Amino acid sequence: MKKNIHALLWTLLWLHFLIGQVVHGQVTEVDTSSKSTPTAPTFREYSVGIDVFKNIPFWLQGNKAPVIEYANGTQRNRGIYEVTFRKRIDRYYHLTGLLGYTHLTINYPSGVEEANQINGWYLKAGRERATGDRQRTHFGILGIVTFCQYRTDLRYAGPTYGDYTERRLVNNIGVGAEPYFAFDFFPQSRWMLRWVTRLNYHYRLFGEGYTPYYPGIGIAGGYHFTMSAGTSLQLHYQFRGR
Amino acid sequence: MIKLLRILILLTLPWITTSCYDCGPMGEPFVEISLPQKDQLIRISALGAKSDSIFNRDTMSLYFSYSRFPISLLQDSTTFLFHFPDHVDTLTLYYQRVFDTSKKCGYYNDIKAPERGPYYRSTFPKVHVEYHSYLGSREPGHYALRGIYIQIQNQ
Repeated sequence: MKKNIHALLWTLLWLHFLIGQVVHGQVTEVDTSSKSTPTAPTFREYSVGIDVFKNIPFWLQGNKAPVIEYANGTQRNRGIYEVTFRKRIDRYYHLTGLLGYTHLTINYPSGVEEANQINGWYLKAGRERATGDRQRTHFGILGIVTFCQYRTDLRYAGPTYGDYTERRLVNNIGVGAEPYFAFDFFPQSRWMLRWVTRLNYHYRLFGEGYTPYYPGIGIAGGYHFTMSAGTSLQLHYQFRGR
Repeated sequence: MIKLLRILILLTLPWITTSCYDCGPMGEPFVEISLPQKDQLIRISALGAKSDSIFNRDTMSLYFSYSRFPISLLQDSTTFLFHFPDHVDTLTLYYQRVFDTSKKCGYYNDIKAPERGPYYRSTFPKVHVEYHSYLGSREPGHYALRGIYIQIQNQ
């Protein structure tokens, strides 16, 4: 099971890079056949985007999903909301920024942790470089700052004298880095679709307890240091500005 | 391209960790009590217990010197009653509950010796109590006692 997931992540990680290579190959052929009209690509300066994919698999599974690292955990009522902003610096580079909010609950049928209610905000900022003739593939790196709150219900089973229950409120603050690939569909038009695949490295500076789901990072097995990967689609509106 | 692949492999490597650690009871802990005159004992009970059956299940077996009894997670003391034919002896054990979280275990619980005050009160003339952590390494060569050991002596 875990092996399959890792294989899938690897495939997703490389797939759009390969697609990018293929598309670029076709483009160069077209350009060599029509040398008489050298058209300089027109680029828009700004784009604002929202995430349009992350909630869909979750809804398709009926508002629940398993937590992979913990065998019995179930995620419920998850919502991920992300807004992206991009600004062109020069021919190759863009500044990028992302603001996100995630809420969910994780329930366990057995064990000390009964339920977690999680709310988290995260800010990502960095820059990306375009590759290829039409500059549809980008790779970039983002710095991450996260804040998330775990409201954990604990139940230590006491069959003889009674259970000990406690609710813990833990505020987690962390920093991280996110290298990513992005592949743009319709990069010249006003509405652009963007396929982003990322790797996350996150270190928690304040906070305690395991975080099976960390907002902005995803399902993560580590304690203070967590890593994760993911792929998603963003819908961007591009405009020239000023 | 190969350089990029190499970087990615390096970045993905630290995914594997292993450990060999005992994370304690994760619930109601048990204490080990050694009793004299086990053969004269009628039954054992504890204050606040919902049922006494667990105290009498293996207590009556004379083959083991120690018997395992649960202690309460709801307060910092547990009182055991030892019913003999002509009298009842009591033993109140004091302790300190620990509910915490760690990288090795996640959320766990442990029992420590009380910071101040007596370890026990009893009608038995002589009692010896030893506190050990319920958590610890399970690797060979790291053998250590776990939990609380109570020796009741009649003289």
